[in-house]
Amino acid sequence: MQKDKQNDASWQSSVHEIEALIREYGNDVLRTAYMYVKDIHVAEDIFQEVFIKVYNNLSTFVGNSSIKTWIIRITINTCKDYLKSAYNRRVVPMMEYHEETISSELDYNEVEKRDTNHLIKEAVLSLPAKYRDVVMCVYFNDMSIAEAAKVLDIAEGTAKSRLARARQKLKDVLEGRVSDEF
Amino acid sequence: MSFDKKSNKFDLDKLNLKDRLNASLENEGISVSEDLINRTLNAIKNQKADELDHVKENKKNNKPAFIIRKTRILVSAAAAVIILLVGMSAVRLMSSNKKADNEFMEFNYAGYAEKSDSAPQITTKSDASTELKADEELKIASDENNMLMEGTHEENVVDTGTNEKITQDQMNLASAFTSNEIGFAELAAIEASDAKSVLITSAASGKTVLFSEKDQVNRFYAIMENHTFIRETEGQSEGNYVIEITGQDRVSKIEIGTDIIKADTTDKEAVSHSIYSAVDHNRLIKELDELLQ
Repeated sequence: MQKDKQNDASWQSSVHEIEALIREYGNDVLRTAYMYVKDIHVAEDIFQEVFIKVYNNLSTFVGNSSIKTWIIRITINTCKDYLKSAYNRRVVPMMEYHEETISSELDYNEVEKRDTNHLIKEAVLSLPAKYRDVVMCVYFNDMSIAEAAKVLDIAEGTAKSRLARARQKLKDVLEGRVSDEF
Repeated sequence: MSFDKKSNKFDLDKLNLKDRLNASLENEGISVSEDLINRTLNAIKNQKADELDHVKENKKNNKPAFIIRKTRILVSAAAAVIILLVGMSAVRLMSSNKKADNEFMEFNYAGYAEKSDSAPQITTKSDASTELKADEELKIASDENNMLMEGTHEENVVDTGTNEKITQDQMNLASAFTSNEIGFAELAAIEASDAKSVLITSAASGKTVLFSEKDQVNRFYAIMENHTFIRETEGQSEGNYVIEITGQDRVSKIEIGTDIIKADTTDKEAVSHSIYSAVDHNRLIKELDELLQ
């Protein structure tokens, strides 16, 4: 009976712990997943799967990296698993682009800024996966190149060269189109 | 500022990509809602409840499982004892045969000496047959022993093999978990053995080459299997090179662009469309050029 109470208490504390992690890193997980799968419903499913995995394996986390890096690694691997699935091979996700209409309430500059942000997001999304992976790790999830290389299971040199290539590609796409903004 | 007008240099580090992506995603409503948090927590709780049920069920079945485990230990102990006894008796049989053989040889030698001319041929014949019999027995005992030894060895080999296989499988699984790369046959969705012909066309040079002989097709696949590809979700292929593979029941058209590779597979029932990028794109192009020459 006492043991059951103890188990219940430890379970409650681990649920609180996972809730804290969801609140702290949830947006990073959901958005990273979205950048991979480009579908909010799938991204939400992946979000749930990731935090279930985090909950189940939290005791095995040894702290070799930051907990955020560990969670993002799980996210990336879960996304890759999803993209590798046979169903997804046959269905190419369609990008839904909602044309922005200038509302009278919105300031023109605000709309322009929003468009630029959208353009940048689309530019990142249009990168080949191997380049996008590194950009997401380094620029979106604040990892060092060494951490990104570890998370993506590639050599540090490869991560560096992919990042350089990604920069070049983003430059090709964005240069001139966002110059006034910056 | 990402575009430095003075140096005319595009600087991604100053683009503040994270904030811009976050702003764009926020604008599209890609944010964690309370509902999503609650659904996730519920999923975790449900999973925990399922686990507890499972544990309870296991507790109910605890007694038979315990008995089964005990029985298994007893059976394996009995098997070990039997193997030991058989081994020991085999060794004893071998040594007794040797002893009997020696005694027989001694007796024969003595008998032969005593009865020098009485019936040497019969003695020899009997000698030979007895010797043969003894040899056979010895051989059988030795075979049995070897079989036992080999059996154990084979079991060990099988065990080691299984363990190695499991470890290998686990490693493959682990690498599959992280690796996203595929081979050419998977990209083309046609194996080399099923491919009837391969037609390569270069849009730039207008050159084409057709491989219709099995050897040529196999050689082409052997070259292409040195490449690995990564699945992409979007991208445009300009189709600088086009590879058309005709298989037994499907046709695969692979368009290779500057970065992106588009693969369309058509069979009787469906058309699949996939996008990839090559891990070593430059080498792929170089080898295609070589094939076209």
